[in-house]
This record gives sequence, structure tokens and C-alpha cells, in this order.
Amino acid sequence: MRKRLIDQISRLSFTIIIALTSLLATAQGVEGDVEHGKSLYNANCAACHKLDKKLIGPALGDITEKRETDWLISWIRDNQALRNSGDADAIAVFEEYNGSLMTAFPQLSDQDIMDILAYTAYVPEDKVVVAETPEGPVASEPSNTTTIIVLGAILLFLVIILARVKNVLKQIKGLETNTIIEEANVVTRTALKNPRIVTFITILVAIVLFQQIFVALMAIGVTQDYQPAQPIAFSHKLHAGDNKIDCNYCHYGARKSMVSNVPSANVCMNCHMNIQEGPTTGTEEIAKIYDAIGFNPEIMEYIEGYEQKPIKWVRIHDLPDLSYFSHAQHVTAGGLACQTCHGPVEEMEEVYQYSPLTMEWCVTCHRETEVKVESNEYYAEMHKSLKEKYGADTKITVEMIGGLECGKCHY
Amino acid sequence: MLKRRLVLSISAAIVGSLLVTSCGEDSRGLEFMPDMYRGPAIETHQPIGDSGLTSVRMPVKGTIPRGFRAYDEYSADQAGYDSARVSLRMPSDIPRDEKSMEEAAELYMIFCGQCHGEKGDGQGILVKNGVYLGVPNYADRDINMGTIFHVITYGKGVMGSHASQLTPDERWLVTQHVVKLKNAMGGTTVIETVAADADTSVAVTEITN
Repeated sequence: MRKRLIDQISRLSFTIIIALTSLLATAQGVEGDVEHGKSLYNANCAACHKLDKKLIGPALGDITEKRETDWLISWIRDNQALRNSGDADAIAVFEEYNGSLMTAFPQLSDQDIMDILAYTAYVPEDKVVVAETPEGPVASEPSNTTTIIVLGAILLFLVIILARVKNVLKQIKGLETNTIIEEANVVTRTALKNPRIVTFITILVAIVLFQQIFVALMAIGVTQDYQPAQPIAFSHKLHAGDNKIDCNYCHYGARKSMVSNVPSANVCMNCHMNIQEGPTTGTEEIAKIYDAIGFNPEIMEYIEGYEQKPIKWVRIHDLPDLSYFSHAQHVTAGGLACQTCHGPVEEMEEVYQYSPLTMEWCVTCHRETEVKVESNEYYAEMHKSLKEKYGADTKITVEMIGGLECGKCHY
Repeated sequence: MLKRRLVLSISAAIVGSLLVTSCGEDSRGLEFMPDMYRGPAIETHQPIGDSGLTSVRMPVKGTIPRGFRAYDEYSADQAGYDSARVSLRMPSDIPRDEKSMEEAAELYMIFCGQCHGEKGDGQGILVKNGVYLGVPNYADRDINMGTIFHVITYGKGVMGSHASQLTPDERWLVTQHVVKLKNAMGGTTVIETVAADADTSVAVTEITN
């Protein structure tokens, strides 16, 4: 208890020190507003520069020590003009980075640039990272089985206690005592000699047995809740939930083809070339993408001649070959949300199969889902005849336009 | 006799309930007639037997999928970017009507909006969440239709190529939407440039200004 208190106090003092230093510290050598510089830096520079390592352009953490401030200002304002003026340093930098052109920033004032430079040079003196560890034991919810086991143990305990009490009473009366097992034997024997009890037990057991067998048979080939371990701990909650990346960004095939594709590693790299560290697993999981595609995050370059390896994702949703399913038909023509079948993927850390994907499930949905007839001129005539057939007020379901015909899915 | 039957029933019940509970989250459970489930045909994105190969392959070099336009006149470097600025024109058969522009806005929000923002001001949700920094405002950049199409196709800086996610025609739709967003923010107006004649196989490269 005391140790924890000391821990907390020391942690608090660390935080205070960090807060104080960030208030008091001025950037070394360059005068400027660090906060303003930071926001300008994030908006204009961070796309190509990091402070501590090379991205598209060089690392900027120690740039004020390497270069003169005046030179930096004219470079940032318009580096092309600086190069055209024949500045040897500028031409050397340009060539070192294979002629990748840095955008000119004529909109930045001298003071803006000074603020940015102040931010790049700014080092918090006590760069102590306080690791946030959750305190106290993590309360885990008891599962159903444990509850049942505990209850059973309590019952058994009560039975033993009662048997003992009975024995004690018998002893006082001076009668013969029995152990629990002997008692149980007597009870079972008497019961088994009674045909009514035997019939009752047999019927009960038969009902439970058949119910269980029925449930087991119905579950054959149904993979609902299937949640295999994946090669990379990819979190849909983080990507689609917290950061609201559209499902179609990675699964771009769903809009236009039968299969909703698993993205290839180059799609991951669209963001993860820049984002090299995740909030939960750090660099460990993202490094697996680099390993698959052959990317060296240290020098920000693809490795020449690298033998790329596939990321072996485990397929979860897998219809049998005897049925045909097209994503494009449902997503683009039907206008369904992905969540209709796949459930709340944006809340899943690890994806599991949400729907049973049984034929009954398909058929039920086709019976209930209404077709949007209003905005579809292409089928106007057909919709008109459907209205005539089923009555103007009836909603046109998928079933009515042939969504239950065998050949639609099985051929 | 009766007793034996009882014991038999009880053990059968236990086996039956085991059948149900044995399918954990990590197993696919039982399958009835797997040969109906898994045909010999190779499925999309699946490994081919134990060969170590998958059905996902790189296209043969130099092939163009049906309905695609080749884009090999412009290289993926600064020189290609510069020549795209000067000479790349949108083919005139790319739809420009209102309905297509709605689709373009939809595509933009799927593939660009999370970084570049709904208005193109560089304030997408990833930027607001502090995950991805330094996304420029279209208003601050000197871009035209040629450079926009070039950047979507090849990427620029840390932005990756989106050519595998968007077909060339879809890229032209998105390009039109980006121009619309940039013009809506004021500053220098980008004039939409369209090639004089429709050439469906190759993006037109002649200089028309």
C-alpha cells in the first residue's frame, strides 16, 4: 500500500517536471513560438519530414545545427529559386535526394519559418516517458461453466454436511451409522426397482439426447462465430471504427466484383509507409507488412529484388462451392451496408463470422428485404407490372423479383 | 437389464452433448460431404494446395485488363509529373454529368476523404485524430487535372499509388471532384481540360493549349 503511494507521488512529480520544462524551455539558438511552429510543421512539413528519421526528405530534428538560419529561410520559401541562384549546398541537397522536388512555401512569413525551426530544435529537457500501466487486478467476468462448477461444489458440500448431521443424530440415538456411499447405493437400488421411476428417467434422458443430437446435426457446416487467429493482429476496430476508414478503401473489390478482396500489402503501405508505429502493438505487427512486401523503414525504401511473401490471412466467410454469391450485386445494385451480413465489424478487434450464412438465413432476408423501385428507371416497366400483380401498396421484396429461384444461387 | 439400458442412454447423451460443445471458436466444426463444399476449382485469394502459391498473382507484364486505359506515357517520377502537368488531358468520353459527379464524390470519400478531408482542406479524420500528419490543403497547391491524375495513379511523397484500387475511369471521376473542391475553396482556379477526341485505349497525350 505504502509502495503504491510512493509510486504515485513519484509519477506525479515526473508529470509536473515535464509540464514545467515544456513551459520554461526555449528553443536552443532559434527564437520562436514552439506551439505555433508545431501546428505549422504538422500542416506543411510532416508529410515528407520527420524529426528523428528520414522520410521523403531528411530528418529535421537537428537541422538548425547543420545549416544557417538565413539559408533555411530562403530554402523553405522557394528552394527552386535558391537552386537557380547557383547555391552549391542547395544543389547538393537536391541531388542527394534523387531530385525529389520540395514544394515552395511562399505563403509562410519569416516569423512562421522561425517558429517552425524553433519547433524542430525544441527538445523537452526531461524526455521521460511515463509508462501508463493499468492499476489493480483486472476483473475478469466469471464464465457460465465456472458458476455451475462452484454451485455444484456448494451443493455437494451441503449434502456431505447433512449426511454428517444425520449420522450424529443416529449416533445419539444409538443406531447404526452409514457412509454417504452406502446411503446412495440404497437409494439407487430402491429407485431402480420401481418401474415408474425407471420409465420417467428413460424418457427424460431420451428427450435430452435427441434434442442434443438435433442441435449438433443442425450445426454441421455452419461456421457462425468462427474466429481464427490471423497472421497479423489487424484491428478492424482501430481502422474502421476509430479512424473511420471506409470498408471499400481496402476491400475495393466488393463494389465491382463477386469477391470482396482481401487487400494486398501495397494497400496497407498507402498509410503504413508513414505510420510505422501502432497505438496498441507498436512496431511489431506493422513490421510484418514490411517483411511481406520488402520495405526498409529505416531508410524509407523498398528493398530491391526482394522476394515478396504473401500474408496468409485465414478465410472466415466461406460459402460452399455449391452456392453462388456476388458482392457487387448486394453492395452496388442492392445498396446494402456491409454490416447487414458481417455485423459490427467496426467494433471487432478480431473479426468473427457474425451471420450463420445458412440457406435459411439467405432466404429469410430475400423474403423480407424491400427492393428500391423508385429511383431505378431501367426496370421501370417491370416494376410497374409488379405493382399491378401484387397491388400498389405491397412492398416489392427480393422474392417477388425472383430472389428465391433455385437457379439464382445454385447452378 | 433395465439398469444396463439406462447406463447406455446416459453415455449416449454425454457423447451427444460433447459433439455440440467440441466446436470451438478456432475450428470450423463438422462438415457434411466436403466434396460438395470444396470443388477442384481454385478460389479467389486462396492458397493452391500445398504448393506455397496463391491464386493472387501479379498480372503478366504489359497486359491491360479489359476496359482499362494504358498509362505508360508518363513515368512515376518527377519528370513524369511535370510532363503530366503540361500535356495530360482527360479523355472526352469520361462522363461529366451530375449523376457521375455524385459517384465521384462518393469515390472521393471512400479513397481520399479520410486524409484530404471532405472539403479537400487536408483535415480528414486521420489528420484530426493525429494519426497521419502533413496532408496539404488543395488550395495551397499548384495542381491541375494532369498532376491530380498522375498523383492518384503513382502517388507522391508518402501518398501511395491508388491505381490498384481505382480504375483509370474512376480516377478521372475523382480528379474532376478534386478540381471541383479546389475551385470551391478559391485561390487559383483550375480549368478543366479535356482532350479533343475520345481515344479509349490510351490517355490522350497531345498538347492542346
